[in-house]
Amino acid sequence: MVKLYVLPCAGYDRPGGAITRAVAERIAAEDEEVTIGSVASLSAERPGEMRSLLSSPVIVIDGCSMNCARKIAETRGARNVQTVDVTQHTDPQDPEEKRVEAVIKVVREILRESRERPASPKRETTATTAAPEAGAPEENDLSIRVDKFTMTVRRGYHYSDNDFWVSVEGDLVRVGATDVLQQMVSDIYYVELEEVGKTVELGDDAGRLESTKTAMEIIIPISGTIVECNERLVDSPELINESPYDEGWLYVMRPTDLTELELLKNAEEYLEYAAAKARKELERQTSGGGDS
Amino acid sequence: MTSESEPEKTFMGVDRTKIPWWPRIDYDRCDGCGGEYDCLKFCPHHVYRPLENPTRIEVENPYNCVVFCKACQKMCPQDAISFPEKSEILRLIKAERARG
Repeated sequence: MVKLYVLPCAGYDRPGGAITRAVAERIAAEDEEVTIGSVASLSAERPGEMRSLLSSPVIVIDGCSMNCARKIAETRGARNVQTVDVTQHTDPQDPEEKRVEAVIKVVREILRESRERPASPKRETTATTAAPEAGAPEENDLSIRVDKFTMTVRRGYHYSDNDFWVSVEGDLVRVGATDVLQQMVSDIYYVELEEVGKTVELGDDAGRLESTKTAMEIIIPISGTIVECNERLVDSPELINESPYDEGWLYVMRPTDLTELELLKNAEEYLEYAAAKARKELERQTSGGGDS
Repeated sequence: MTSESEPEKTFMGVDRTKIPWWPRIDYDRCDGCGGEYDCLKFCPHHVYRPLENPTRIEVENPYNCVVFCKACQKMCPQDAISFPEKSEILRLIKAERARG
């Protein structure tokens, strides 16, 4: 059954805020599939809250035209957000109870419609994740298909068991996330990078990624000093999904010990490891644990 | 369901069971998030098991834990999770590989 995430702005600074809260409570009381969301928890990115937001259709109820709740829902990566603006459905001169009733009617209508649509519209994100298909496949790429996953590995790169790659460029190395990683985490909507100048060791975390499925640390695959960050990722985190081995790179580093490359896998070894990982993921999904 | 708890067998070529990397729980701090178990909900690798009365978290499958991943530590509201020193673990991995 499709759960529904209803997010009232519950704003304290506008009269409409109280109405949104009353509406959400009434709707949740009459419909057991409705979960009431919390703007505060989304602001703090409470993991349980994030999961509810990202795994359900979202109906936002905003008390005024600032649309704070819609903004936070979208900033946190929600798709399929439907917004109800209290000011558009009620007259501020009316008594509060009348305004609550009016908004409840609108929300009920949206709920009814969303149930009638078969299986609720799935996130239409496959278009972006499938984009690499459009680009000409690199001669240097190796691919393996495991069920629904087609994973690509770039020859000549070195790979960590944490699913990050290293490519040697003269005295420097470039690092990034592998195609396997980006497929496992799904659509990345937020990237936080470490600052240039920071020295990190293999295994240290430096920055993090957030996707519609999870949040994770960037685990550095080789020791060294960061000399460049991929600034484009701040505005376009999806580059990691679209082009993990090229435009979606993370850092350029000055390595402290290139012999560490021996600790990493080559393309063929990593491809085998990736296939095993994908099989495990598929097993996990079919054995009931997965939800995608 | 056994497949779910089956860990990766090696990490960087070293038998995973030789690498002591998993979360340590400070039971003076852990309150199981009052039954919310944020770490349990977050981690997809079935490392944790929830306890009740009182609510606490427990490490059930230590070798399922992804070596070097500390993501659950950062999101623990009580700061009750810690991990070994990464540099120690890296040294150990290098030593194990050298022994070959």
